[in-house]
Amino acid sequence: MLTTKVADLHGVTVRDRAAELMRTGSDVRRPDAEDRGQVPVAAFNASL
Amino acid sequence: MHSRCDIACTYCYVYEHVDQSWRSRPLSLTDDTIDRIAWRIGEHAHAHRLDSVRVVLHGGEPLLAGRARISRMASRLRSELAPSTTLDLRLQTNGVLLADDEALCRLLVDEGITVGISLDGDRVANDRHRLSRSGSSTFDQVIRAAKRMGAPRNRTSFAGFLCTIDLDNDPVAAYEALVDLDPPRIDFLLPHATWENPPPRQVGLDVVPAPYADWLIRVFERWTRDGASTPIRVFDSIKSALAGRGSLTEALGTEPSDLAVVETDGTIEQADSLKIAYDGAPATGLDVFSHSFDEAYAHEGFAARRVDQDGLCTTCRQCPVVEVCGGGLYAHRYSSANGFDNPSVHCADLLKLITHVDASVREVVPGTTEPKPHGFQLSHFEAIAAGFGGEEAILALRETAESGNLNVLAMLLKKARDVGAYSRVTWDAVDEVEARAPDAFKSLLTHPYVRVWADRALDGLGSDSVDSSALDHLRAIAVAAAARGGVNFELNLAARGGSLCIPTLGTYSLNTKSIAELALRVDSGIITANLTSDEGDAGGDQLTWRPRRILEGDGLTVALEDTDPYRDCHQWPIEPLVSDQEAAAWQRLFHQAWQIIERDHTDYAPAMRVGLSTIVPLTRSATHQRSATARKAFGSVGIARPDTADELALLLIHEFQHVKLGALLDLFDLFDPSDTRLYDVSWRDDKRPLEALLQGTYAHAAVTDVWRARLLRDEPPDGSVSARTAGEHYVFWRDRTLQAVDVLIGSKSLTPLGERLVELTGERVSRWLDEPGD
Repeated sequence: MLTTKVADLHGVTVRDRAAELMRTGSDVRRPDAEDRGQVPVAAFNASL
Repeated sequence: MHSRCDIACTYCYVYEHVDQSWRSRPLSLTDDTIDRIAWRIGEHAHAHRLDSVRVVLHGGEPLLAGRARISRMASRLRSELAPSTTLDLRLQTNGVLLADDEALCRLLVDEGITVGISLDGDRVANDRHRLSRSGSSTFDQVIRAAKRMGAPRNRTSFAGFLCTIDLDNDPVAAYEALVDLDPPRIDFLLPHATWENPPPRQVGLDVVPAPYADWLIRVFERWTRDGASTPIRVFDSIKSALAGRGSLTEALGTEPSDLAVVETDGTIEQADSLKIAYDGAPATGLDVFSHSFDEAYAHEGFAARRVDQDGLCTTCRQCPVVEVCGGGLYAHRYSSANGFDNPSVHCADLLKLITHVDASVREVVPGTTEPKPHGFQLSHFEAIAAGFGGEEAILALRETAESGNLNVLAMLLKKARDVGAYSRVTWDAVDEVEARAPDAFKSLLTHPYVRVWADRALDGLGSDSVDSSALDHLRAIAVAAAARGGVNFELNLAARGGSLCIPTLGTYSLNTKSIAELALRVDSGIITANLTSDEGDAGGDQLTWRPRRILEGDGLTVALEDTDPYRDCHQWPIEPLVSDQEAAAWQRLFHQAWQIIERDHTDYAPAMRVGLSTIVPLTRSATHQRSATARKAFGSVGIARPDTADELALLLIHEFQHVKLGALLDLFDLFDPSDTRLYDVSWRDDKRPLEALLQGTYAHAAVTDVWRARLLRDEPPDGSVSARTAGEHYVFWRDRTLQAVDVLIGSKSLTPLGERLVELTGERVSRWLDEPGD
């Protein structure tokens, strides 16, 4: 089994998760490309 | 803006305390004074290169100044501050003039003025002090004003409530009365008092040492039980200061005050709360006609507020909570004997409240309840890395996307709360559908454009400029989940630009582009909508509903998404509403394309069957095929309708590879994120970052595979592509994919998992080099 970067929020409500973020005062990283400073959008524009 | 008020609050610090300077002030700012104030603020902002300036239009009652003066002030300020300084323009009102004047509300919204309303709780609480000049209640008017500002069409300009504490009011009742009105933020203010005129401390028959702390602690406990959802500034300030992040109000904390007041005659004064200390206490002898704000800054009164803890009395400097309290509001320290060299007259209350909040915060150790990360089966990773992935692998991806998107929604809730854009009505609706229709709610969470919207909304709630209108879409998401999950409820939504999309279901269209408010009712899965009564001026509007279009293949149904406002994330321009004729053309092509995929590209079909949910029509190009995938829109592909089913099959396979790899990249680091180099790619003229190279390699391996299958087919499909042409395409993409594999390996920036994915891709394509007929 591989460990991912995504917290398992199965069974957790939005409100509870937000309360947890409020209590810890932390902003959880968004697990996407924005964090890496690039927002590559895969686009196909084939000229063939 | 105006030095008089249209009501007569008994505790008003402008009229009812020792300073009576209002008697000699002009009623309102003149145009000349407005222009001069704006010029002075601009002068100061440019001289100090300020990123932003907050201006609060105050009174008296500022709305008495009239629309023309308010608009003039807003436009002059914007003009003087442009282009480098952002204007944060606010207004604090008793609300009476807003009660029945929608046009005035719209003016404030249009001018970008954020409006705070003073309200002390329920009717009994409010009418204890906030009465008209004739002694009648203002409560009903203020409630109408609050509802008007809180309506979706005006909500972006609603700051919330200021509530002054009175010990005779029940704290929880006051809190609930305010929260029930769904404000973005509340602040509770200690009553203005000095050592010369101490605040009442009698509760019932007893005089107690810290009754205001007791009052606020009861609110704090209730607020905490409610999830601390509606921001309350005094509590948030204490928490923030306890965490070392500074206070959010001048009434707490040790940050220097950066507040100056300009009266209606143009005089520059210190904080107006000083009016409670002694007659003339805020005066500086300066005015905007002759003096700059830099000169005011040098004035001894302002200078006294910049001395940090050294400016506090001995009692304060030795206090364990001084960093949080900061001596309280400056005016509350005054005594005739020592001036301001005293603790706050509310010292005992502040100490008790801060100590209580501190203990409450310490009960939770950060991080102890952080959930564990998702696991992901190695076999699923290998299957996707090899280019395919079965239904189980894609469903596992979807589960992680659910968690990721729920987390973003929670971040949005936290952010909305932090920046004062919280709406109880909106988030209560989310709570309700999440609790009563969990499966439908989860399904909505992984709708491609919910994530796109949530990310944009998060960006829209930046600290410099808050655009809370983006949160309106959450109400539409809640309605969609309710309809899908069989939850009956009612909710008002704002339609902007002539339409209102209910995600995954359809779109209401109006024949007006102005903001309109719709009352939506969900009953047994059926949604009905009506314009609200407040939209009387739009009475001629027609509401039309168009369900979302779908495309049917054998065993696969996807949405043809042409209305969701967040579908414009695919780089290329999107098609507007698709006509019936165009939709029929899409249906014919899609049905055939899916048959081709299931017949000729069987390894790719299972993943698409469970993972492909949406096709967004892009505008067509005369010379190019167009398709795209947005990283955040899991399950969606954007495609300009091609001419043949073979072309569509190729584009669908190509783009769904990006969908799969994008989802994997959300789970794992496949390369070193610090590698910001740009790489030559053989399929584009421009250099690309490593992630784009990886995406292209993974997708083009599948493109190669598609052309290989066509090459091996006996008959050219549709007569549109000859076997010879298929061979050329096959060799072209095969060779470029292998070149890209070499570049990726040579980058030395792949993680072990990234290397594994690239190895599997390279091995698969390399094997084809040995095939006969190459």
